[in-house]
Amino acid sequence: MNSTYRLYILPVLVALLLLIALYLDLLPRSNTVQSDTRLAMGTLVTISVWGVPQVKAEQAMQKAFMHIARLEEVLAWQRPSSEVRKINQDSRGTWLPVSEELAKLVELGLRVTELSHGAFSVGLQPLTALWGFSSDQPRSEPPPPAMIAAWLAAYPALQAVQLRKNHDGAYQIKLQNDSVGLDLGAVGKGYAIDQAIAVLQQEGVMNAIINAGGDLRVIGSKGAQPWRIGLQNPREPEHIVSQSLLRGNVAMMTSGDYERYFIFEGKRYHHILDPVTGYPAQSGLSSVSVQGQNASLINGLSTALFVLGAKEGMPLLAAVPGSEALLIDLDGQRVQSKGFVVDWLQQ
Amino acid sequence: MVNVCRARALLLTGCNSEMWYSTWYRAVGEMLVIVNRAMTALDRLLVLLTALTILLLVLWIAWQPKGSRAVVLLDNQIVRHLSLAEDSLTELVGHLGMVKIQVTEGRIRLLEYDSPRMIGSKTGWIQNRGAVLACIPCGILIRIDGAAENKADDMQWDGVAR
Amino acid sequence: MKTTRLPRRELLIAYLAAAAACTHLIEAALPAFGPWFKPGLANTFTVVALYGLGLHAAVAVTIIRVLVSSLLMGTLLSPSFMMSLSGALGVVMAMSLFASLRNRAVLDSSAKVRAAAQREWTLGPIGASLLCSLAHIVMQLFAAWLIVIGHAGVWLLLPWLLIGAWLTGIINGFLAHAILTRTGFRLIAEVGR
Repeated sequence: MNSTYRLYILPVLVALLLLIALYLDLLPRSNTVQSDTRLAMGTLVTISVWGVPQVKAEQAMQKAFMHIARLEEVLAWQRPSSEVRKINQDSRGTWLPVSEELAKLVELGLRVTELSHGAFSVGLQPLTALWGFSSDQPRSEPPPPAMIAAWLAAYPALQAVQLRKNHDGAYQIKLQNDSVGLDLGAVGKGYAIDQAIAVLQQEGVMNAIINAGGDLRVIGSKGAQPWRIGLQNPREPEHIVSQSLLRGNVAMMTSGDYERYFIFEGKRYHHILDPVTGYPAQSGLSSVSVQGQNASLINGLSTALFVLGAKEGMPLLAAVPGSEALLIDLDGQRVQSKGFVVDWLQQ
Repeated sequence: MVNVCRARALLLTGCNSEMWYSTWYRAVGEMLVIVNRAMTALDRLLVLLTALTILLLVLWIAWQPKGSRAVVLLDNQIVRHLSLAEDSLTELVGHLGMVKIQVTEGRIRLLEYDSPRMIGSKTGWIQNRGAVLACIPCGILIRIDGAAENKADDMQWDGVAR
Repeated sequence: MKTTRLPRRELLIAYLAAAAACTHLIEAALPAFGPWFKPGLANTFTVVALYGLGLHAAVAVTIIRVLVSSLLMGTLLSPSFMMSLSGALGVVMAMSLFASLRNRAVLDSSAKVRAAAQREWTLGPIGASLLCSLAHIVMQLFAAWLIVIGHAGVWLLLPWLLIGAWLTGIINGFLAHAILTRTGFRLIAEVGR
């Protein structure tokens, strides 16, 4: 070996050490789940990503969170500048222009309304406001029965919200009367999850979970392993009662009487309102989880199933191909459809 | 330079693996020699010094314990970084007035004075990486980043449905 | 000599700036290296200008390169333009700091002069290119921290980016050296001295 080569022993060693350090620092990260949590849609939203380098994962998650925040500005009736708010403040009984994005979501909500024969509605904002479940200072007692009766008398049931597409392709919406106001809470979360997943996919992320306060959708897997999703016991939030091993494209949305509720005179009043009675649904269920491909649709579906109950709900489930459900009643008894992915854990 | 070209030409015309190795070895060697010849004494010193500095930086980054660190976000903007290694008590003004954030023995908790359901205070202490603590009406979110130990014995879920 | 040298110098600055802008555009079109790593070959021409034509010419080439390439890409005044501009400013700052350490004798056609110059504690094109490229990446990251990301976490990327900058700095310096010694620039460098 001549002396010129010897000059390079040190740099080559340095380069080798660098490579080792690079390997140690970067390799494990793209093989582990990276996640980030933010506050959005009134809950904690966690995005977990697998199989992309850290920098890329952070970029993609950031974009997805920004998209969710943008959607919230359009869809949340509580936001002063949202499109939904503007429609709610506009006049009733006339056709109003509506953006295509919002129209598509309302259309989906109306589909669930139709399938569930009115057990689900996207026009319940005045009733929701009356019960006050989504305000910062929740009520501790139900509103006076007379107010609910008055609302019920005015509420036009299936005609509450109407949507049409003009010959020029623009959408128009009509809210029937003052007892109707748009509240997309029951499909909006699923829609935001679907859209955020699309953002992740555009960014090249093929394996991810987006979990918005217990409603989630997964894509891909963790390499050879599926995503492991635990399901909380409705009555004891500390306990995980089952695991679902999900891979591919699956959304799992849950509606329960324990998310937002108050107890008045020994009776539980929860946030899932039945448009037929004007009161919280009393179908004998405490929780409904639905699995399917489209988070927005099954988000509405889980609410509708909760309102309908096990008996009437099953035909609705059969009407939506590819959706599976797990229903837990007030005694903790479980009914599940055949294809629902779940393994029960020994307690 | 001529030798490098010759070595490249050899590569293109096809050769056995031993020759392949030796020509590449030679080509790389020749190139290093040429680069070396073009350098002044100060150049060489700079090349070595910067390489060593970068190496140290990289080693420092790669091997430093990424640390149990809590990130405090207000309206999704990072407002504080709190080390879990040292005890501290931080006061922060959220949407519902003052809250306290307490760090003791590598754990962290949030104490609200006023919130409809006091979920943040009820959550109690958190200490694991990825664990979060939030008072949604206050707009405050606390998340533990870095390579904090996962001390809990529960199974690791990728997500919890409820 | 004087009557011919002046226009030639201006012309050379234009040539070098054009070449640098072209390289910049080509690099921007190459997706292979990802958003965080660019070979930065355009800096080669800055170093050539620095040794062949002097500090002012090198500054001109750098700034013109950034302006022209961002005009052509339509990114003028966008964040990505700010990033390249701040990188260029880093290069300019570094160059003005070490300009007095330059030694054009390392490019001399006589092997004797070259050998003597190389033993001195002065800066050749490779060292200059290395410093430029490191300054470039540091300033760029600083700008990213200030304008785009606003998150101190970007500094964790610094060592990895420095590795790339170190390698490309040396390669670009070698290319600049080759251009300076194998083309007419050697003559200009000698005249300039």
